[in-house]
Amino acid sequence: MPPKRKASRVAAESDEAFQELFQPEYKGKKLTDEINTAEDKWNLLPAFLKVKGLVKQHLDSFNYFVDTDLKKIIKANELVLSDVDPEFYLKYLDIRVGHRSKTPNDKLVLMPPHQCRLRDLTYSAPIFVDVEYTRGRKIIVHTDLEIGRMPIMLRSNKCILDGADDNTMARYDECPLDPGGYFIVNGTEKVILVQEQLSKNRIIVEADEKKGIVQASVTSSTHERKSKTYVITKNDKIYLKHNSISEDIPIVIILKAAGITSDLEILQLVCGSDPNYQDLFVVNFEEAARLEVFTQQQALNYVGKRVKTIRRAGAPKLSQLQEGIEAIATTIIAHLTVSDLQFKEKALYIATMARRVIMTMHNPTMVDDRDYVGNKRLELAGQLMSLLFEDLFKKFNSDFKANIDKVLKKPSRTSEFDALLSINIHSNNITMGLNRAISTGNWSLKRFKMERAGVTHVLSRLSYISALGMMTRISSQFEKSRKVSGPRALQPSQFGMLCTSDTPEGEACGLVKNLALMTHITTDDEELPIKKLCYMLGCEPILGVDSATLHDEGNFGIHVNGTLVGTTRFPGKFVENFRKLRRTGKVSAFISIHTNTHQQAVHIATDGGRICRPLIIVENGKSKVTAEHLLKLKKGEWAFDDFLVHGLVEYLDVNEENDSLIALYEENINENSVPTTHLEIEPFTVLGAVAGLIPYPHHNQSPRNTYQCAMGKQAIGAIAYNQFRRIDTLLYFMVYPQQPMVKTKTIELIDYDKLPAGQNATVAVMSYSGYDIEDALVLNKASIDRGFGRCQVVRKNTIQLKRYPNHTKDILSGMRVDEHGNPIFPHQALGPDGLGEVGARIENGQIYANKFVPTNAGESALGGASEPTNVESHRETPAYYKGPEPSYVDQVMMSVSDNDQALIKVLLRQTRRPELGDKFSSRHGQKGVCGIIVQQEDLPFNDMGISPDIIMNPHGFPSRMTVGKMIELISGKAGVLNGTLEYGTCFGGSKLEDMSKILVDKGFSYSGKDMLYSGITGECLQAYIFFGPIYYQKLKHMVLDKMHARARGPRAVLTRQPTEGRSRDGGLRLGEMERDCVIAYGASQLLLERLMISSDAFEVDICNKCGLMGYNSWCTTCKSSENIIKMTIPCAAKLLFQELLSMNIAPRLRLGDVF
Amino acid sequence: MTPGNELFVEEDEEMKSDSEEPRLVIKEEPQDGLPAVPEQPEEEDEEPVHVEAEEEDDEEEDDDPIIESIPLYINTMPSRFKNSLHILQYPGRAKARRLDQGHFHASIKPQSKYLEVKVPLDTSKFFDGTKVEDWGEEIGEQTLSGVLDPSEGGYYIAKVETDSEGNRKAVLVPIDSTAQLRTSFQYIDAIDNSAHQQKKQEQAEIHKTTSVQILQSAAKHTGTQANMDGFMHSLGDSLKHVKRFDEESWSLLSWKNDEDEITNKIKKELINGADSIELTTETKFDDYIQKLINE
Repeated sequence: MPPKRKASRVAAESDEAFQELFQPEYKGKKLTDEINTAEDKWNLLPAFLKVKGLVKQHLDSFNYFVDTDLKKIIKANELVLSDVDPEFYLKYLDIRVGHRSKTPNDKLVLMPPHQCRLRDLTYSAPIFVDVEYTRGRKIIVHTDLEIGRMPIMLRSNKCILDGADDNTMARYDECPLDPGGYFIVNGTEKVILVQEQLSKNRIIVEADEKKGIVQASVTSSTHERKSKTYVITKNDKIYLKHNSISEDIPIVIILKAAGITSDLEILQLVCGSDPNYQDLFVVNFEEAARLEVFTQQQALNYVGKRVKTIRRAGAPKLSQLQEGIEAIATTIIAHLTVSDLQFKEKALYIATMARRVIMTMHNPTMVDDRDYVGNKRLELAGQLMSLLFEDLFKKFNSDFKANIDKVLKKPSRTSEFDALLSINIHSNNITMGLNRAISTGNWSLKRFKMERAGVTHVLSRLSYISALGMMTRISSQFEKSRKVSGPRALQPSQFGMLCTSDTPEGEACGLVKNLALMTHITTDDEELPIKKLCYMLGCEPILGVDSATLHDEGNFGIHVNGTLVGTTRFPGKFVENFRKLRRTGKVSAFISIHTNTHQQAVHIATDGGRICRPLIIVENGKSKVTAEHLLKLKKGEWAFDDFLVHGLVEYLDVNEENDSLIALYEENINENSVPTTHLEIEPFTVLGAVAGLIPYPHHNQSPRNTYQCAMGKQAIGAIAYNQFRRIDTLLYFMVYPQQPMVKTKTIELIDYDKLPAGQNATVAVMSYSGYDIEDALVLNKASIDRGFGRCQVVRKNTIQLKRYPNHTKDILSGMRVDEHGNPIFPHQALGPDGLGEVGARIENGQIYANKFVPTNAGESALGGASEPTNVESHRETPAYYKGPEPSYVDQVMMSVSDNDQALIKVLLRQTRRPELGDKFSSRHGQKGVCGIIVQQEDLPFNDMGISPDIIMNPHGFPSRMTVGKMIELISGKAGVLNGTLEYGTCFGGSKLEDMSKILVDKGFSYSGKDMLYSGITGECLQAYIFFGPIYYQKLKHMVLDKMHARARGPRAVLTRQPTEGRSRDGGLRLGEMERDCVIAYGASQLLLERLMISSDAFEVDICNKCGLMGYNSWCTTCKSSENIIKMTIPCAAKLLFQELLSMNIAPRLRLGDVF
Repeated sequence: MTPGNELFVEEDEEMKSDSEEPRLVIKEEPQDGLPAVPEQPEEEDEEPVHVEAEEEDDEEEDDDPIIESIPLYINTMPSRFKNSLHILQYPGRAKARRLDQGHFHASIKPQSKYLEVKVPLDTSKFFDGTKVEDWGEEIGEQTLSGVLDPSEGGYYIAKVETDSEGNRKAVLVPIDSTAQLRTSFQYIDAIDNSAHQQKKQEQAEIHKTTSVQILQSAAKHTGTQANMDGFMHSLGDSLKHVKRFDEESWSLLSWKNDEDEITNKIKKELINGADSIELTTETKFDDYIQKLINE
């Protein structure tokens, strides 16, 4: 057995969730069953998810960072030199995370992630480096030096859960279905959301037709710097613009500075032999001639004169010419760094930009689309971490260097200086820097002057789906307030890459997206071997190509990551050969190649952050995946990667997709003039994980699917297998979650059927009682008694027992008792240890942790040394429970956090049954609140005595057009009668005809309608009622959390008005618009009462003589009590007068009689 | 560039499958020509003749049949230490303008890999005589210069020879580097520089008479000896190269023409001096690709 196969076997064994794939019977199919390729090719999808998983993009990116990128960073910053001692150096040789050099395969055993969650710690692994440095005259190599700790992404290859089977996961208190891909920092789970941005190092041409401006821009991004270069038109002349050059440089001058001195050659490079382009371009030569710039040196001087120099301290002053060379070599188009005298590549790049501008001037349709997914790159956790780490590492090195210099500067040292002794001082900086950035989400990078906030988010654990949805989320860098529709619109190129339904409503609509089910995000690949390969495949190196033939008809430029590396005259053959190599696995599967005939170019992309997806290769009108391959897959002989290696399936990114013809179904494959090149694996993969829950979504009006995507994340259900071991701030569990009667293939793939969020309710679509207007639902009381919609809410309360510098500390103390020896009311839930007893009921105003704080904590330990105060006095600071309903103490955890202070977590639980006003929703964006709860005996029932759990008003259907919901009901009903679970997979699923057939066979109406009897009169209802099971979700919005009323209560200190908000027992505001109504109505007394008497009435003494306020019937200004009049004004008005007085404005009141 | 009388092959001879004999598949009829001559750059404007070594014989498509198979021989310059082979390209120079008239001067900065060729200038056509007065110098020569780009084993010159028996053979000689030679207008820069210098001097003179002496009281810099090195540290890579280039002195080369005796001798040697071992490859195609990818 080849080793590779063996490896995949091992992986397979470790992942028991997929074991059933290899069982003789899987999803109702036996090994001996006939295989229908058209039907069964969807089996590739579970195989894909087995290898890739839903959060593979995060894991891949993080793995790439810790395994590859860290080493590159170390390499780029490997030397630390001293300014003082020229002999001294320290060189980093290697870096590793989580294991030492001697044992490359033995990972250090980290603290299990669940313990980190519970104890508010960071799940991290040490970073080891090997260094070589000088001590005196000796060179010393030191291995395994720890320079800090790196937060570890769960289930990445550095995590202890990597490759763990279900038993191991259970041992670590982890849920085997948990996807991982997040960090645990200080006990909270943090996700680094995928960020979408415009691709780096590529030319983007844009045009403003109104202003007649065309601009080509490129954002250059390297490890050292990030800068943007523009080639723009101004009055039909072309200039180069860059931030560090104070004025725009005419294009001809910049090309001359880059060594293309002859005008003929410039013309050839930019325009080729096209007379249209030449006519457009010639004016630019006049500009250069007018400025008398003819030679390279003159051009360099011209540029150098205009460079804005930011000289670092100690850097030598450069001459104008040197400034010019520096600008051309490193500043302009910074990602192409020239390190020798050959500037041709740079010149060509600028010329290409100019050419694109000229082409767009001639034909405005040649602009690029910013919103096109092929022009976007996704930035993942790994990339962001690498930016952060490099910044911290540089800081670490410069701190270290400063420290060494300080020591080395001293002329005489007592002992030989060992640099490593001082390196450990700074190791905390890296650890803390990484922790702080992840826990706050503020990514501040000094070298790019970048400040980004909100990069990380707390992983939402409302339900399994909400956590999954968060892991696949992509946020855009666009500003939400800008009123442009383009970035928000659904792009055709999104097909199969980003979910078409899952986006929030409101301000972030279209800016926050979700990955589709079968996608992969690339990581960076090496560029150099690809370039060499191009030359071997018949690409002429660009340095040897002469300018006259560069743009000849039929001569295609070959661009690797946007940079022209050569030309070919046989682009078709070239691309074909390249693809052949990729399909045979010689080149990484994620390198894309495509031809752009408009630009006469072949583009090869090896950069990271491109979204791609697998497709079946079609050759000569035949799908390359055949029945025998699928059989191998089913038997477990093949994994997904075997399909890749054998060239049956390949990954395409968006750009390459545009170069292919993809058949949706096998019967669409044709061999016409444009032959089919690929076949979709499964069409339902256009949707993402969250939208995949919807049954029959292809029958719904599209916004309804979008609404469901938002609501699916709010549904209460099972969170994880370890949900009862978790102590989170707030968790909701459904008491009896059920898997849906009508499921989808996606549901099975993402294990929603194992961790469901909802219940199958029997729904009657009819009008009942009038308490069902505006989508309100009628609930059956007996169903609720049986546990329908019942959920538990657990809330965490944290208490820390601090230690103080004077050796005093917080303590817990037992309960206090009354005269009968019973604990006083607030202490009723406490045990003798001063903590709530597990299982005890705790009511409003009772205490769950009886904490005492020392009264003399502030005193210094030294001052008190003279008189030892053994008598510690403490002050009571108990933690009270507050809430309208009592809770039960579920768990109490005592532990020690990392600063050696005791940490107590008390988990309080409430069990809630549905009540009026609780929110429910089906899976079709149809939400409603409970309007009435009816006794079962009053509800209608059918022949078999079944009465509905929910009655839904039929008015919910016509305007919403959620036909999928109706089909779900019929399929569900057929499934119930037949004893099967039916499928409502998008673009497929159980057919309505078949379902109706089952209904008829079982003696029901084909339409799903039943004859019902009124529960009140016992008479048969006058219409047949649409009656059957629909999966309903209970949403997290519950009345108990929102109900609020106030008669009297707390007031704000300053204004004496009632406080605001439910949490502060606030009042309900009679706002501006309500006030207007009362004014219009003329209810002046009501106005007075609402705005003053019930709010902030204040009795003031006003002196009628001076018009100012006094007190105690005494006017301080007039020194008399003669003209004092008492009256009531709003406290806010009084405050205004006082504030005006404080700024030297005297508001004087003149009082007169009304009557 | 215009089609010249040179031939160059752009394929690596290793690029063949294991089983088959090395062969050239000629898609375009090669033009008879002369190979480039070591250290004696000459006209080399060429149309690349696509002589492709096919790696996959079996999958040869119908529209691209094998016309003829020619055995391959490899040869190198007679003495690798003394001689090297380069392709010189003259972008912007018309094909019609031959390079064999007049006297040529060539010089090189070997460390910086920078070649300069001085070519006699035809002042009879397209030449503004009045400008010469401005520039104040008799311009008799055109200076062409360019960087030698190492070809990294990718470029070979080849000559397809037919011997007396009608057997054809192709001789391959690897090229060390290619260079595109562009005109540099040093005389303009020279004028600029002298004007600049003059201005500076004038300014300095004015400055001297008026300026008050400022005494600097700064403390001595730490580590003056490191400054030499430190200076290089702070310069960018490109500037370092420029600095090195400026410091390096030109070494002169002698230019031999096409008809020169030495030239012809070397040409002959290149064609016939091959060890007449027919090239077969032992590198398997897969290994070759693997080597390529893993490098």
